[in-house]
Amino acid sequence: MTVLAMDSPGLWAENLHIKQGGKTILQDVNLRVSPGKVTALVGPSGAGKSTLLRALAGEIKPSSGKLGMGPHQLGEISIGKLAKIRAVLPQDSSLHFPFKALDVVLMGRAPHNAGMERPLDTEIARKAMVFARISHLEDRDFETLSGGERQRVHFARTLAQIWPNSSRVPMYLLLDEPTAHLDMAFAQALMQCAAYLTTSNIGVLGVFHDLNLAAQYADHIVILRDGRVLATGSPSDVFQPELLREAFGWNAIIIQHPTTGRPVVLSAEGDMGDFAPDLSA
Amino acid sequence: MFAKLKIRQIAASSLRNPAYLNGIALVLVALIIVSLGAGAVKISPAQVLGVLLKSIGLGVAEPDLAHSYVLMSIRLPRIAFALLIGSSLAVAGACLQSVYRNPLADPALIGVSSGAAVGVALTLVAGSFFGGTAFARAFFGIWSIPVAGFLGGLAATMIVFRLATRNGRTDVATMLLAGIAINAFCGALIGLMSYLADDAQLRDLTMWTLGSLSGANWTTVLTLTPFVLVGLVVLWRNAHALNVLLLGEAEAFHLGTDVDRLKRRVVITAALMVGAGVGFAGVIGFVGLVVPHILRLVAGAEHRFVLPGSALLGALMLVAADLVARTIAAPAEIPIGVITALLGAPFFIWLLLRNRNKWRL
Repeated sequence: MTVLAMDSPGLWAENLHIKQGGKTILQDVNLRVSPGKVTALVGPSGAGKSTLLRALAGEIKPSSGKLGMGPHQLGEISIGKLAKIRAVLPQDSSLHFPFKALDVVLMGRAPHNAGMERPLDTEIARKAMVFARISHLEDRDFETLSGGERQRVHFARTLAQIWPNSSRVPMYLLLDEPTAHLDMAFAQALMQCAAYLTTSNIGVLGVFHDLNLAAQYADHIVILRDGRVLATGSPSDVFQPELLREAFGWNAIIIQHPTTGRPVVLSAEGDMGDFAPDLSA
Repeated sequence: MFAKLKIRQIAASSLRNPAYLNGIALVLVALIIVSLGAGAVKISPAQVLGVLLKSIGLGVAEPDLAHSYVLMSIRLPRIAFALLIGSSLAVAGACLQSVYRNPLADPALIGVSSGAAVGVALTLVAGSFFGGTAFARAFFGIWSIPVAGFLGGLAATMIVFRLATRNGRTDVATMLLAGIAINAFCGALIGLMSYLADDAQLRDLTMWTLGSLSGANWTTVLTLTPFVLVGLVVLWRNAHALNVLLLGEAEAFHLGTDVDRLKRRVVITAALMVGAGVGFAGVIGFVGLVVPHILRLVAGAEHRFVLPGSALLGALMLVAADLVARTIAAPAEIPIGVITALLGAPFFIWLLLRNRNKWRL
């Protein structure tokens, strides 16, 4: 089934299959990340969410099917050109060398300045740090930061990489479980930033384990299971008890958020019930 | 004129922490003058400057002829040799640490030193069975040992690199393990050659393994210079890409770096630079490991500081080690590799203990 035309806008996958080491990871996946929208990828562990994100980042070549950005296939766009319009925040990245936080954020400008930082780059890096609420960390040694602080520095680095310019060309921000190391306030703040970026023609794709974070911020949700797209649509379309049971094998209750009206997912299961083993034996 | 100005601006804006770099450069210049004056014939700094100025046509007084000869024909080429080898070892070490994303990497890790040692051992010992040594002598003359070292080092590095590369992708962890395996294999070959060697060959081989700058003359300096200069320029041009590589290979790709090309370029350049130096001077350990570390501790890991800093501080360390090597037991000369290892190993252990929790592979 082909749902996307080749010339469709956005970052897209068409009939995407990916095999790694003889194992099929993704099968017949169709997906589009539209500029100006937040798209969320959810699904059980091992469903292929991170692989799909890495494929859309250009890291993994499709075994069959197509990956593309706007009218071009991803493979036709040079690594350097891609880096100017697409940023990726990995689940966690290690850095065991002493750099100041500002220097790490400035690395996000690398695709734009070929290693010769201009005053503009520093200005943008500082703006990105303000935006990510980490200006106070500017002169800190990256190695001494906490896990959450590091994640926010990397987030600022990706912001600096695709900082909006006057051309307003569509750009993409790919987030792989961006809030894994963050407390509630910073997780919300990060998602607010990401959602706000969509107002300047940036398309955001995020992999989420927290369904409620996805429900709260995404315009479009894709549920992945066993490497296939199980459902796609708005949060209220896809967050249905039957679909969630099919995806996760768990019973859920959906209620409505009192102020935003968006769906809120709650577990419908209490104690272990029939699964409870006899621990006294 | 405009273009020149622009190049100078760019160079100035891209160097980091120039104050530290200037400081190291100043100490280096002072040390060179002291080192030029030290030895069997003592020459005062003023006389050293007099001879140097005269040699570029700026001298006022006519310097002593003997001083002039000792400086220009013996000590100056030796110090130039130390500068070239020290900076190439330290810069290669800094870059390889970034490729491995491990601050404990060393030029020896890619097999260049042990491969060079095998080349030298084969030329010195095994060759004599098949007339190979005579052939090498006839073909390369006094160059047979450096050429054998260079080729051996390069061959070992290429094997390590090929073992770790599959489908155009070089896996750094495999490269590390392949390096260990090749080093062990080379060690066995050297052991075999030592066993087969007669006393004179054994002494030659051992002395080469300990490292020495006594082979320095203007010819060796001029031969080594292009390797080192080209290597330094190539690595400097990749300084920013190496910064980004420290974030991780996937991250570097996301930021527009062709990671496999970068790794290939850096490893081969480092092997060429170090291999050329090792061929002439033998194995000189710990400079490539320790120098980049000191710099990172002082002012951070930014390569636009660490690379020029390594070139200067590596040169400084080797000039200092050579000064010690040829004066401490004068008129005898201690192998310079012994000095660098004697000083480098305890320092390295101190670094290791200090950062025990931080460094992981």
